Amino acid sequence: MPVIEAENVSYSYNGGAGFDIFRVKKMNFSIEKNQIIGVIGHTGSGKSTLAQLLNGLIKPTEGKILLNGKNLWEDFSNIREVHFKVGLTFQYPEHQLFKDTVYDDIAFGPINQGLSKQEVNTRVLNAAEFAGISKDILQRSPFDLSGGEKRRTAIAGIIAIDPEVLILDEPTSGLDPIGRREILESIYNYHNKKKNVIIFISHIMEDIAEMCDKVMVLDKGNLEMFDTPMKVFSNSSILSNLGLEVPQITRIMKIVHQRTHTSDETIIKIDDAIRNIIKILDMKRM
Amino acid sequence: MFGIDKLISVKNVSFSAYSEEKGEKQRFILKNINLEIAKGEFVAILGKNGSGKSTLVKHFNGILLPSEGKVLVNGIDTKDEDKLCEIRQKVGMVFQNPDNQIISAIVEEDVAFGPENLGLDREEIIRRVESALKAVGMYDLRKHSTDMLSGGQKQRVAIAGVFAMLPSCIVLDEPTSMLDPQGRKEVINTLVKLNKESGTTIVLITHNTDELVYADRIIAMEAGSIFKDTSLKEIILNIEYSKALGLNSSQCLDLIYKLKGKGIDIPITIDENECINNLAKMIEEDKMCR
Repeated sequence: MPVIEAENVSYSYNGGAGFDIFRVKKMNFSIEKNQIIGVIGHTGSGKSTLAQLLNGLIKPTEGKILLNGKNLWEDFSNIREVHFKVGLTFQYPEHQLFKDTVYDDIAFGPINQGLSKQEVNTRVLNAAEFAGISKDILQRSPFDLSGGEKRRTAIAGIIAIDPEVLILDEPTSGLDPIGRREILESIYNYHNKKKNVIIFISHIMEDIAEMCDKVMVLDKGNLEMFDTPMKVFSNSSILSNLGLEVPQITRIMKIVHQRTHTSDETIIKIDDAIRNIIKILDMKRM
Repeated sequence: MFGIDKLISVKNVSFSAYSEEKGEKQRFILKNINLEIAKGEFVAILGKNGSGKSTLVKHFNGILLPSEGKVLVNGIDTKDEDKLCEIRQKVGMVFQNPDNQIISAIVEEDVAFGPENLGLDREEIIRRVESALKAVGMYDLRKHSTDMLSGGQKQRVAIAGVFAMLPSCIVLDEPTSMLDPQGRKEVINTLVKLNKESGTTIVLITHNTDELVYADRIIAMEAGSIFKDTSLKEIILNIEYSKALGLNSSQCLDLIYKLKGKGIDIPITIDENECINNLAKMIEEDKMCR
């Protein structure tokens, strides 16, 4: 059974003069368990709106979203539970840090879930470990930390509620390349251990290609494509019409292949490129 | 007298922040920085999160004042409160988040905010707004509502707002990190244009390796100090520096290093086309040897 499904989901608001402005238009998809789903799209394509719909922060104006087969909005009083099952980190989640210590900030979610002190403690320590936060900073003020540490603290706060689905809205923007890699590795390890669904919104096509099992391509509120990264990034002309691009490695390998007439394979990961180049060189020596 | 080409001069600057009440120990965010930036330069500053990049550039127009040492802008000490307006007019800032920097509902009104506050004549304000909007390629959208713009467009409006003050220097703290690929290109092309055509000094903080290509000079920071002050070429040719600084975000560079690791020798570059040429050449030559 799919973990999350969207059936004809639209979200619009009244733009005045009787016109409705659509942020999300008639989307249909289903996400199976244990997958990392990438979401890409131009600014204003509806990525963040979709994230908020999935987490029950806003209600679809049409259609329904099913979590484990059950409509999110079937029972309005139950929507708080949905926030705990579908965790969402906003862009720049560190702007929402507010407690005196890193520990208290991570503990905020589990405490509000009504867990015992001991359970809260276990959750906090586990979440901190997943997010790569060292024990010695748990008692420091979150405002004294570096950008990368703040980001990890904020992400740990969501991991601590132990969500079935974790939505990360541009988790690496503004981080240096090392910080970026560390966050991605933590997310990947967390996913491998938890086997939960992760929805990963990013503008960095290289990260989407390396991380994701499937990719959603959004444009003006429409779901244009929902396929494997390989299929999505084979369509470079469609992507560029949508203001997006393919990973750098895909671009490089495509031109090299064309010029040398060696292969027509789409390459989306660095390691595949290396294997491909070695294969081309060896093949010719034989 | 002070040399005319030195726009910003940082002399022995240290900066520390700590709370005595909480009994914290003094921690230095910047340690003994010496730096000069000349008119017309395009300087990129890079380094890890927490290395002091943002703290350093906030000294360039007196948002922060040094705990030790001094910063001169056009020969004026940033500690001179009476001259602060003059300094901020010379050195303008653009920040990361496009939404935090737009204050008016209409594009041209937003750009006019700075010049209005300089107390200029109406005609002069109109002239400056017009030329600033043309410089960033937003003139056609001058009557548009600011909240309908894309991130890249908003950043360009923010740049126009600074440019309308006729600054000698624009400092940008990761202006592209919240933008999509197209928005990133728009902003960077605008900066290159302002630098080349108007001679505006650009100081750009960035993590994006692609954007470093345009800089004449790279200042690499680590733990509050300047680690390297050099050209891009020198930095990327040295694998240790770039790895250490977390500069290596380009797949092009990653590919080259990994091929080298497999014993395939190929020249180091971050220029995509050069990398393609080198790879194609290598495969062709291999064909010939066969």
